[in-house]
Amino acid sequence: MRHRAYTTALGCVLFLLFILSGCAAGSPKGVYRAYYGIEPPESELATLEMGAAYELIIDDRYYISGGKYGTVKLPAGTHRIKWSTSFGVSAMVEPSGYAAFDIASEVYLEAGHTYRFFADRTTGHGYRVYHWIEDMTTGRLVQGEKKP
Amino acid sequence: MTPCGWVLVLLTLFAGCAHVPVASNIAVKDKLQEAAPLEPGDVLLVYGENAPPPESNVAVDYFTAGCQGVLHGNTLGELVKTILKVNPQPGRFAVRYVKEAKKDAAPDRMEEFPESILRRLDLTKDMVSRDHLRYAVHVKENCEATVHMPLYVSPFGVASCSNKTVLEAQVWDLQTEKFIGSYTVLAEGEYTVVAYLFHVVVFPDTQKDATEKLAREILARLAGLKPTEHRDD
Repeated sequence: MRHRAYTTALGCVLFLLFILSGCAAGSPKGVYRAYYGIEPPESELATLEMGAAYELIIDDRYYISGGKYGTVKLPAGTHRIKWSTSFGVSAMVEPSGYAAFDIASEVYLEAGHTYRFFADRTTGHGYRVYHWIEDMTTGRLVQGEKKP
Repeated sequence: MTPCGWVLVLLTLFAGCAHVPVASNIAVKDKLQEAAPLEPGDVLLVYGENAPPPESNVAVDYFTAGCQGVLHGNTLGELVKTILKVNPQPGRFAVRYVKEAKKDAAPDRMEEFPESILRRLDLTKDMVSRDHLRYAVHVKENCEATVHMPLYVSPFGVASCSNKTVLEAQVWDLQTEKFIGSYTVLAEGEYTVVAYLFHVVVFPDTQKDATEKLAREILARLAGLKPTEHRDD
């Protein structure tokens, strides 16, 4: 009788382990350095946090995947940034079940500042999507429109 | 319960879909001359036409389980991304997707009018020199699907279609305004769905495979670089 109870307990533990094995913490993402040639001093770099962007193309030169990198370091100045976001949406609104957006921004980045990509939306039919880039150092909006 | 009943119970429990990606069969037609590699700071322009969306037929889609494949609408954009992804020296050169090109000559007749490339892209010699524009690649995509077996009635049956993607790239040297040849990639594969509650979908993504092959070849031939095996996605 006791043997059967142990077997049942072991079965339950194995079942729980099997379920939990599908759940793991995300590994820390790396820092992408978007410059070519001589490494500029840290004081001349600006920082981009991927935030809502799942991929970036900077100055038509650098492709950055949000799956692998969480932060980008690049020289201060004006940059052309193409960034992509996506939302899971009701199949009643979009038959594919998700909506993806590409945004092209030309932004001036200041050295030592950190910028973050944001996306948000309203819900239901005729939903509105908001994309914006915020200077996290000053709290200033540098591009786009923030969701009210 | 009979064994047959157990099989049905198990199938119902596990009813779903398993995707089995397979590589497409690739063939190339190489008529590209040797080209000087891109210098640091140079820009490669990509423009052209994505394949038009196929005509949709609800009945055909149903009985073939959609085996004609889902057309990715932006192959040119993906080509640009893939060139950047497989570039072993990120930042060395830029790849710019030019969407708007003048329609003053049919793209398939560009070989006959090499002198019109700057006009076609709305460029001047000054712009080419100032912006380090080195090569222009016109890409024309063509996708086809042929239904072989439309025997699917959800959730049972077999469906099979052959999918084919052709990417034809024509390359110009913008500094000399000379046509330097073409490179064509043909990717083919059989998209098959076998279902008995549980669906097994064997699918070659011919668009993706053709795009990857062309991106690697552009990088090797125009930039003189060996594409990375590891992709950042």
